[in-house]
Amino acid sequence: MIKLRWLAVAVCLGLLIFGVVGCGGGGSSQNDAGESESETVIENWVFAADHEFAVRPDGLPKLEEEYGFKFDDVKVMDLGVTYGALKEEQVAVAMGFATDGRIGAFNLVNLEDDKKFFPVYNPAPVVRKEIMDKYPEIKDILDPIAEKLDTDTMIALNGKVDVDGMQPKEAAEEFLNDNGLLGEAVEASKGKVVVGSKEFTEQLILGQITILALQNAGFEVEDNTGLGGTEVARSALENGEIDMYWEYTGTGWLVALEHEEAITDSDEAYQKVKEEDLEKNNLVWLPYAPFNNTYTIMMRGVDAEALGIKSISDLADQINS
Amino acid sequence: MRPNRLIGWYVFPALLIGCAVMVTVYFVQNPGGPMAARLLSYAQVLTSTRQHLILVLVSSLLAIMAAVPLGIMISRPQFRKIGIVIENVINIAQTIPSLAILALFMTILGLGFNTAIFALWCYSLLPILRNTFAGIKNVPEGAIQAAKGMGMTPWHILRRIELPLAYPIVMAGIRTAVVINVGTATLATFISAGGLGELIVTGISVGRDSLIIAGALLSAIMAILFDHILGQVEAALTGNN
Amino acid sequence: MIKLEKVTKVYSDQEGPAVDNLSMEIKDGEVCVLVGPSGCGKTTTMKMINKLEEPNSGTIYVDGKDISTVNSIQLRLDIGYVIQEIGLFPHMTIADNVATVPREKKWPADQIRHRVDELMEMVGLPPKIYRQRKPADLSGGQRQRVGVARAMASDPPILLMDEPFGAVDPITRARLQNEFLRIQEKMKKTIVFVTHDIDEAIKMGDKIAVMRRGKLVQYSSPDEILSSPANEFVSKLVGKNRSIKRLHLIKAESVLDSGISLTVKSNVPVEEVEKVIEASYIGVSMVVNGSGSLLGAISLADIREAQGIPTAGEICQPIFNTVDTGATLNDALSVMLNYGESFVAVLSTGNVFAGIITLGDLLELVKSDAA
Ligand SMILES: Nc1ncnc2c1ncn2[C@@H]1O[C@H](COP(=O)(O)OP(=O)(O)OP(=O)(O)O)[C@@H](O)[C@H]1O
Ligand SMILES: [Mg+2]
Repeated sequence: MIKLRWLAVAVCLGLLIFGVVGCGGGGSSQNDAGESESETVIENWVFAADHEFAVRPDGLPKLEEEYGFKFDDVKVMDLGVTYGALKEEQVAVAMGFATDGRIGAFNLVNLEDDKKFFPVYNPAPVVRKEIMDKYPEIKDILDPIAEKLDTDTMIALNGKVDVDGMQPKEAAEEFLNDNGLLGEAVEASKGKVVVGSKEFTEQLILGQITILALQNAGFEVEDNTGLGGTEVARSALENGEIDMYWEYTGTGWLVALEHEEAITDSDEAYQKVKEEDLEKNNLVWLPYAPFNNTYTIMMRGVDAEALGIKSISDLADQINS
Repeated sequence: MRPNRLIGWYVFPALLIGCAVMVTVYFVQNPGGPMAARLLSYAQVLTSTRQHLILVLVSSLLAIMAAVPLGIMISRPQFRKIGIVIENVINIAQTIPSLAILALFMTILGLGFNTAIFALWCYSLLPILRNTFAGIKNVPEGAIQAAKGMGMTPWHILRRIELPLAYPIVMAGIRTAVVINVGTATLATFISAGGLGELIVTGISVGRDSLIIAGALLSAIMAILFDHILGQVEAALTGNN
Repeated sequence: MIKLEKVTKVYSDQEGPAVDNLSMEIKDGEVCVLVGPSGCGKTTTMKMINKLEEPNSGTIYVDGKDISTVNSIQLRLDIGYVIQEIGLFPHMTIADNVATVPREKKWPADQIRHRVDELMEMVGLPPKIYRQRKPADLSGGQRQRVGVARAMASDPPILLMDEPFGAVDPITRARLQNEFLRIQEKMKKTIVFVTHDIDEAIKMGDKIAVMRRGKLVQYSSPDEILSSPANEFVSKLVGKNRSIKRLHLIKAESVLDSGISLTVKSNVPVEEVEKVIEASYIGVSMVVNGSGSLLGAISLADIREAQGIPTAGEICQPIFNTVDTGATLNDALSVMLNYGESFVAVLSTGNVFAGIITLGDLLELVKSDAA
């Protein structure tokens, strides 16, 4: 009888352990052999997409049509976890945001959108015209910074904050110093500007970069970063509560200026949004940075290299072959 | 008695399944636009339902197998101190939102089915554990003293007195856990474990009510079905039917 | 035989000991009643006898064996236990409840069934009606009877009964008590019986153990408790009317005056009777036949009314103020009061005149108590 009781205890503990370990062991179910094999062979072209992209007519169906291929299967999940799914080889290809820090951290690569399928979202500092008129040198301060912000740089910066746990300010400082973008510091004497940003990592970093650069050039800067979503930041700018923040061309075009058709060419998007925003809202779009925070199609770096895939067209060829 | 049993075991479940079929047929016929139609196919609905069913069944079964013995164990006098600690730990764990549990385990266990099962398992532990513990503690002290005083062995006291008396409460815990599980399992889609949540979440993100309603109705029917069947099991085992 | 030797029990969260250095011995076939105020340790004492509680010090012997060396399950299976809270198993039928110990002892099924019916019959719950009921469908008193039946199911030589008749009305209680005494007469079990009720204790006990704050205050026969309480606590417990209570205890035969001087044979002539009556302190003469059976009584008035010279037998009047030798003094008193007489005639079997008891005798007894 006593034994039975202990048996019950043992079974119970066993199940607990089974629960923890058993489920834990199943993390990577697909393509388990992938890493150990020297030759990368992807038999199942499984694609990780979020719920929206998977069904929207201008999402996955259009992408497949445009490039002329079809994934073997689609796994639907939250956009935040596609990076992990790809890294853990549960899928071969995944969608994500092009500048997410995990791309660098997980050794993933963005495939070039060579047919310009996705709308473009290049960021540019948007400044109230009043301020630009008063301090035209702002353009000279921010131009070289924007120029340096390419996709890989932004991925690395986002990775430092999101993956390595750095403060946005530290990451910004490091970026500016590494690229020699801070000249001789000038005593604060030029006047006051208010810098804003939306409330996600990339925006916070961009905001901090701007603040540091302007401070260095002798501006007195009020930090008003972390303003929530597009709506909040945009109306703060229009109301003069902030003087500038980084906005994406695609967002400016679709959200702020309320157009229906997305633009998929960077220059075109920038020119159009710049003209219209100046005319309608007295806002100046300074030159945009080369990185493009749009949807991206990603693969694991090793796979892409082994298969010689650089663009989505290459991927389509590979799948179709 | 007989007709009752017939209705309980066959007629009512059949009606529920009939409802589910009707919901499916209706929404597949009237998906409300091509975008929703991508998910509202018989194959897709069947797959999602099957995934959902498996998620709920596997996690609930594992939870019952772990929580009931654990509950019994912590109700033993010699474990009572540890029992209170365990109960508190799980109580606190329960206050973590289920989505957070999914996210947490995802970083440890990776994505997909197993993580979802594990999260659901964790989530259903407490109601079952707590009810098992409460059910056994609820057994009148006099009955146990009498049983002990008459020379029943601890094992017999457990099997003949404590468990039968705790049984309805344990069962209530299991029912609660399973019904909650059916709901929580709709979150599994966030980590690519599929289920009816795929319909619902897609519906929400692209604004298609047909998807939301179809997914919600099917999971509601599933919850009622589980609850009903467990009720039948309970009645059959207590011999009240 | 149950023997407690300097047993002390201290509950960890209590101030004083629940049972304090208790020593007593309960002989085989004896009913020992534990009485005392609430919380004095009666239940605790009981629980130590079947090892539900372990004494902090002291030794308990059951059948000569130190129970700390005996397997507790084995010990308990042979000790019937009626718990104070009744403790029926609510999910089981009455029959299953009663069958608990026989099942534990793995009796064959039909023997169990037979035994259950027998016991239910015995406690006044006809099995046909009550077998399949659940405890919730019984009254409090019926439940207590099931509790008693359950404890007796496997016919254990020792019974521990913790307020077994606590929840029944006085009439049923008296019936159960009488039934209990009748059974005990036959079975001669060793019984530890707990009660709050001193009257019950007096009625049921061969020995009464009065407890107070865990200590044994007095341990003696009911009569002794009534006639010579050890201290004020006991006499308070026994109450002001302990003399009347004592009348319950004392059997008529033990105090009667054999009354030889009061009797005449039925064939003696009247004049002789007259002499006897004049000498009699009760004003009548008893008339018996040749074999000693009581025919009636003759008073002086009877003689005066008599015509001629009849024999005693011819003029004696039948009397009704009689009791059996087995009756208590209380019964005798009742009879006297009922018939307005100052004496009762005590008859043994076959109506044989054994003697008389007078009101004066009773007064004397009560007086000696008051002293
Ligand atoms: N399990 C326990 N833990 C702590 N104290 C207890 C326990 N059981 C009894 N006691 C205490 O021991 C003392 C004696 O209790 P016990 O139950 O023996 O009294 P009792 O004479 O049976 O009273 P009653 O007539 O009310 O049933 C009381 O003060 C009680 O509070
Ligand atoms: Mg008690």
